[in-house]
Amino acid sequence: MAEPRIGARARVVLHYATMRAKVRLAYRADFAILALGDLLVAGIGIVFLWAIFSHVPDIVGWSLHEVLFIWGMAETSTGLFFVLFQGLWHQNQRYILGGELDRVLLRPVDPYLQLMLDHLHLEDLPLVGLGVAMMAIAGTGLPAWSLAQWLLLPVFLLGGVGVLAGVLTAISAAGFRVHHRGTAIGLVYQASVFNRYPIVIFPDALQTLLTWVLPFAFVAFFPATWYLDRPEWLGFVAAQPIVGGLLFVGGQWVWRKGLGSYRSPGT
Amino acid sequence: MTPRSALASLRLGVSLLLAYRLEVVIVGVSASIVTLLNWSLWTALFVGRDSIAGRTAAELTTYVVVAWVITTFHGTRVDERLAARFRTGDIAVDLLRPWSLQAHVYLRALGRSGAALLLTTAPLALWTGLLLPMRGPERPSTWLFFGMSLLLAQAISFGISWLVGVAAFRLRNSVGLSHLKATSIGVLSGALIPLDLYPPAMRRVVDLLPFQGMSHTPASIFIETVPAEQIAPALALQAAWALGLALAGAVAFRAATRRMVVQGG
Repeated sequence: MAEPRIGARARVVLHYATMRAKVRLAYRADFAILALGDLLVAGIGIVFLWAIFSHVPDIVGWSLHEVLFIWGMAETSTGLFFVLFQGLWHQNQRYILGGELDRVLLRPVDPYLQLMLDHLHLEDLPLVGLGVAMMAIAGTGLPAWSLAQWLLLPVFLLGGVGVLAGVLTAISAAGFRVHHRGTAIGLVYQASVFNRYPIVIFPDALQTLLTWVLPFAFVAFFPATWYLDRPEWLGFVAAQPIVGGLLFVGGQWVWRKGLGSYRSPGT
Repeated sequence: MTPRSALASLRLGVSLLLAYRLEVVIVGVSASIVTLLNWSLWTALFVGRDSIAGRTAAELTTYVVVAWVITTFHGTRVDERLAARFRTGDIAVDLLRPWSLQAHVYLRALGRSGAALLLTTAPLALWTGLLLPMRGPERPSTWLFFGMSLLLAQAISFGISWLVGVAAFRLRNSVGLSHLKATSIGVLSGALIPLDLYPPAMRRVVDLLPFQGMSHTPASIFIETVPAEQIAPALALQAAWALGLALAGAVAFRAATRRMVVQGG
């Protein structure tokens, strides 16, 4: 299959995005409530932290500003992940069991890209804004950053998206083999909520799990430590963009392997 | 509704849950994850201090574990299903049946909760109870009140879900609203954090809403921070909300079906 040129690809992406916006805005009230709802879900975190820190000054030595900063980084990366990779949630039921993947495979655009573009979730853009706002508020109580820290912040945020997308794409590739309407990715995603706290508050086994098995600690915690002037994890900080890149590429590889064993349900 | 059709509705709820066994496992594992997260967090919060807002570590860690574990009991998907019936037009068939749809759906949800109690809630309660240091009730009567409170929590959860499902008639789509419901429950029910810890202004707002009956009331009864003489009023308040929501649900349902537009079919 000949790959279309970059310019053509960009046009396809743009068309998809506008189509998605039109489709979603057909249910305007629902769109608004959904965008608001996602913001509120994220807002739970703020209420939660606010309630806790109104009673205690720190969690094992981590202040409100520090936890809020980690949380903001996680929120930003997760928000971007939700906007771009929502297709993973629909893959099993609609595309593999429902047979919509046949349609996707007949078109001259990369199937993974199509699946993700079909479900571009613009409603979650406010989450990204919220995440940035949390980082900004937290920043007022943190040490000043160097130029390098400013410049590398987007890199770490994208690295976080890479970690999430890589792990969850690899997991959802199981859907090509195990035919089930449910999917384990919601579950694994659930585990990623652990990335919003300093991992040191968790039992050792959980820390190991989050670093080496489901490396969600790389999404926000490790890079955040650099901005919080906590030097214990500098190695992990430096490794984060590489880990994010490798996991993303690895996830793609596993997914494409899985696609090879796809059988149409014939519907 | 005859006793026979009521029993059939209950049984249907049980088999609906059993039909999706993998989902049962997924709910169990994901609730375990959140429970462990909450427990770790609250254990960490007590490092270097004996009490927070006058509560001991044992009370608060037990609270957050219990409050989350019971969400697996009263969680229903009534709103999603009802909204789907409207979207597809299947609701027209439901309206032809010779019984109250609301009563049928409630009993189905109750059956589902009963099955979930055995398959998800109990195993979860067992492992958390065995592995995490928790505080069990000192008075035996607490178990009874806790059970009653749980049943009422389920009815409140159903009442809210039903209203959300009915609201989907108007909006024609309910994903957003269901999301909003989940959020409100997360913040206002006390499933994640005891409501006593909220700032006073927010606590006053929460007190006026039905959500606290879903997690805060049963979990507080369990850790016995509700004084003995206040248990009966707390249960009565839950019951009043359950009843009020059911009535509001019936009225809203009638109004909605009168002006319903069946799309497609």
